[in-house]
Formats: sequence, C-alpha cells, structure tokens
Amino acid sequence: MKYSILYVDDEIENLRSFYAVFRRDFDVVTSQSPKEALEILKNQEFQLILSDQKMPGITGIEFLSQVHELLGNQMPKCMIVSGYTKDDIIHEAFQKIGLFAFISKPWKEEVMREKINEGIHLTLEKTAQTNH
Amino acid sequence: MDVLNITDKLILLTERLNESQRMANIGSWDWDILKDKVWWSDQTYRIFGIELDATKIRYETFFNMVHPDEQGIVNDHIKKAFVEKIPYSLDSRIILEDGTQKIVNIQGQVLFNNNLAYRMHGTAQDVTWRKEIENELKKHRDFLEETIIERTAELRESREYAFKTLEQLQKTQTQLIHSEKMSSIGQLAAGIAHELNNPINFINANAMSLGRDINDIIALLHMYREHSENNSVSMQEIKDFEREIDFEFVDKHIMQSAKDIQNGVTRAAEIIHSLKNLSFAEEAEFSTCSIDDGIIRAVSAATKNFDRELNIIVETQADIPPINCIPGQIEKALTNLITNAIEAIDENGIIKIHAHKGKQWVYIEISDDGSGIDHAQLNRVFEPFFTTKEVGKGTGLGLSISHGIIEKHGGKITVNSETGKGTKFTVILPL
Repeated sequence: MKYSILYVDDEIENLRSFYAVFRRDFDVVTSQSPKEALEILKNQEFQLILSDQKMPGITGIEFLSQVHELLGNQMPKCMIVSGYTKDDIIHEAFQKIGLFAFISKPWKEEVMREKINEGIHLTLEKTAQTNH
Repeated sequence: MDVLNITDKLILLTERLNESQRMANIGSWDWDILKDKVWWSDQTYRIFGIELDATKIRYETFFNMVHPDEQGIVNDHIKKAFVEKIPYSLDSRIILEDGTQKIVNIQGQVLFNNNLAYRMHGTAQDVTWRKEIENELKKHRDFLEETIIERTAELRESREYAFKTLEQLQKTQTQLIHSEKMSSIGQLAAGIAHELNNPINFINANAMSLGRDINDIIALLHMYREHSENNSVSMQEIKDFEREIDFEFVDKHIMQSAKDIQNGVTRAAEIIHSLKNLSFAEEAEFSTCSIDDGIIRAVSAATKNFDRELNIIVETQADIPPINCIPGQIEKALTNLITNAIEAIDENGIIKIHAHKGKQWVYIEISDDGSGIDHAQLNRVFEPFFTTKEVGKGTGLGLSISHGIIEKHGGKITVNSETGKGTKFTVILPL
C-alpha cells in the first residue's frame, strides 16, 4: 500500500507536475484551494501534507495552522514548498505547528523524495507512539 | 604805581600761579641751555618729590628719575625737539626717591635764536590718576576683547560643530535613501525570484516526469514489437505493464506536460519582458501629444488581448490642449490601467474613460463596475508584483509600471474602490 500525501498549491501546473513525478511512489492527492483541502482532510488520512506558501488570500503557514486546529494531535508532518526563500515567519512555524521542512522551488527530485520519505517516517513514528 | 605796589602785585601773581599749578597738579620748568641753569616751579618740585632748592636741580635731575626702560624714549623726544624743532609731549614713568612711581606728562619745546638752541621750557603734569583710570579702562577693554574673542571662538566652534552635524545628517540621509532603495531592490528581487521560481519549478518537474513517461512508452512499444514480430511477449503482459505505468494517465499527461512547459517558458519570458518596462532608461524623448490619441491607442492596445466583446465608453472634453510627454509611455500607462479594468469586469461590465481639463492639470479617469479592490489591499496596488489576480493571470507589474510612468511625468495616480461596485483610477498630468 502506498502512503498518502496531500499537496496544496494554487498553481495547477505545480500540482500536475508534482503528481506526474511522484504518482508511482505515493498516493498523491492535490488541491488548488486550502479550503477544499481542509474538507479532504476531514475524510482522509495522510502521512504528509505539502503546501505552497504564497496563495491568494492565505499563506501556507496560515493554512497549516488551520489544519493544526482541525487535526490537533493527529496532524501529520508538514512541509512548505515555496518560491520564496525561508523567512522569519516560516522559522517560527517550525516550532509552532510542527513544520519539519522547507523546500524551495524549483525543487530537486532526489531532495524532495528524501524529504517526503523522512516526513512520512516521522509521522508514522509519532502515530505509533500515541497509539501505545 | 610805586615799587612796593609792583612787588606786592608780583608776589600776589606768583602766589596765584603757584596756587593754580597746585590745583591743576601741573608744574612748569625752564632750562637756560647756555647758562645750564634749571628753574622749576613749586608744583614741579612737588610732583617730583624734591625739596624746594634751586641749587639741587639740574637738567639731569629729571632725566635720572625717568624709569630706566623709558629713558631712551624720553631722550628721543628731546633730540627731536632740538633737531626738528618740534614740541613734544609724552607720558613717562618717574621713580621718586622714596621709590613710589608716578606717571608724569612732560611737554616741552626748544627755543632758538639764529638756529642756536638757547632755552627749553615746558610743563610737567602728574597724570598718574589718569593713567590709572586709563589702565583700568584698558584692563576692562582687554577683558572685553578677550571675552569677545573667546565668545567668537566658541561661536565658531559651535558653528563648525553644527556644520559637522549637518554633514553627518546629510550622510545618514544619503545612506538611508540608499538602503531604502536597496530594500526596494531587495523586495523586487524577492518578488522576481518567487514569480520566476514557480514556472521554473513546474518546467523542471514536467521535464522529469516526461522523461520517465517517454521511457515507459518506449518500453511499451518494444513489448508490442516483440509481441507482433516474435510473439515473445503476451498481450496479458502488455496489459499488465500498461496498468503498471497507468497508461491512461500517461496518454493524457504527455501533451499536458509539453503544454505546461511551454506555458511556463512564456510566463518566465513575460516576467522578464515586463521587468524591462520598469526601467525607462532607453526610452524616447518628450514631445507634445494629444490625450485623445493616447487614450484611443491605449484602448485598442488593451482590447486586442481579449477575445470577448467589451463595452468601453470614452468621453474626452474637446478643449484639452496637447501635453508634453513621452507618448509611448503615457499610452503604456493607460493601456495597463484599461487592461486592469477589463480584467475586473464580467461580460456585462462597463468601462468608462473620462478626460477633462483643470486649471493646471489634465484628469483622466478610468472606472469599471467590476469586483472592486479590498480596502486593505488598495494602497498596495502600485507595489511591484502585487496582484489580486490568480497566479499566472498577471505579473503584478502593470500598475507599478503605470505608477512609475505617471510619476516620471510629474503627475499623480490615485485609486478609489468599493468592493462589489467597482474601481476608479484617476491619472493627473501637468498641462
């Protein structure tokens, strides 16, 4: 069984190309809207969430905070994928909402794959601990 | 008149003279040069502190009492009186026998007979008190002068300090302006990076997945070939492989990927092209142009990018004189504003362009009845890379370019908007 990852980005091209690259390895679900993504998260379990930072009306950090409110302890590991370089807000988010990686666009496939695997592994570890 | 009377009168006159000399503190003296006999009046004796006794005084008596430092000067004056025959007057320091010092004004003149000096006479006045007052005054004057010099130096110092401070301030200001510029360059660079990184990102990812998909398709082709030529691969194997690679997806995805790559490249090129518009260094010169023509050209430039029918009403007052501007740039500025309005309206929307003349300015208003701009975002609309449109639909540079052009022309551009009712941009250009 493949692990599930959710990728949110307002640009459909980013979603399509991400899906095309990783569809063989993971169960990739994509969404262009953070609002829609929250609905998806209510019904499906993911081992990793990826989000763009700069989206119309909302930032990735804001979206992930909403996810945190929704899922609380059950929140999987999250990554920000952005064209901006890392800034203070994102640095803060590392502590606040359990952000574990920041990947800047354009990403390299090997780096992205490695981070995805690492994130999934951390989520699984955490789930195992809470279930004990 | 008898002799006695005359003698009495002489005595009286001498007494009066002596009395007035005493009161004025001024004595007289007389030197018979030929006989070398010196006569001093009573007051002269008193001034020099010498007992009244004619046998005791000579010409040297006075000279020896002059302060050694001033004997030279006194000598010079007397010499002059002999040689050049001019009277003299000088203040000399006198040291009395008991050691007290006095300042005495000596005036004298030499009398000649056939060029032979035979007599020198004059006065001696005790001016110690005057000198003391003069010295006191001088002291005060010196003190005042010193104070003035001191204060002037202080003033000069504080002026220099003020100058230095001003210089420092100007330097700081220049640095501030520079860092402000640098920070806006930095902001611009960050914006460019973000805008470019997105298309580059999906161009890159599509290229990766395309390579893999094509690989899969070639593998599939080989299987078909094996199947038809040698029958070494079964149809079942082929079907299994197709499922494995999700052929349905690959089939659709390949063309989409190629299209996305092309779109990404176009977007990147557009961003770079619009950046070129941010600097006007290479731009043409100012000339006079009609606002009417500018608006008409801008409308046709803006509308040619849209397929749909547009409802644009242009009203311009007839009396607007031609203005001094760079026509291509004004046209570009207006085109961006009109494009912005077109993108804000729906199919039934109306755009109004109205131009009129004021006292010193031409006003061009471009209003739409579209969605309007959120109040919080209104003062950011002229920032480079600020956009409310969906990503890919605008670079976020259009309005900032318009803003730059209008400012460069000495004009202003303002925006009013109400959500749900529409937006009005007003361009003001100097007449």
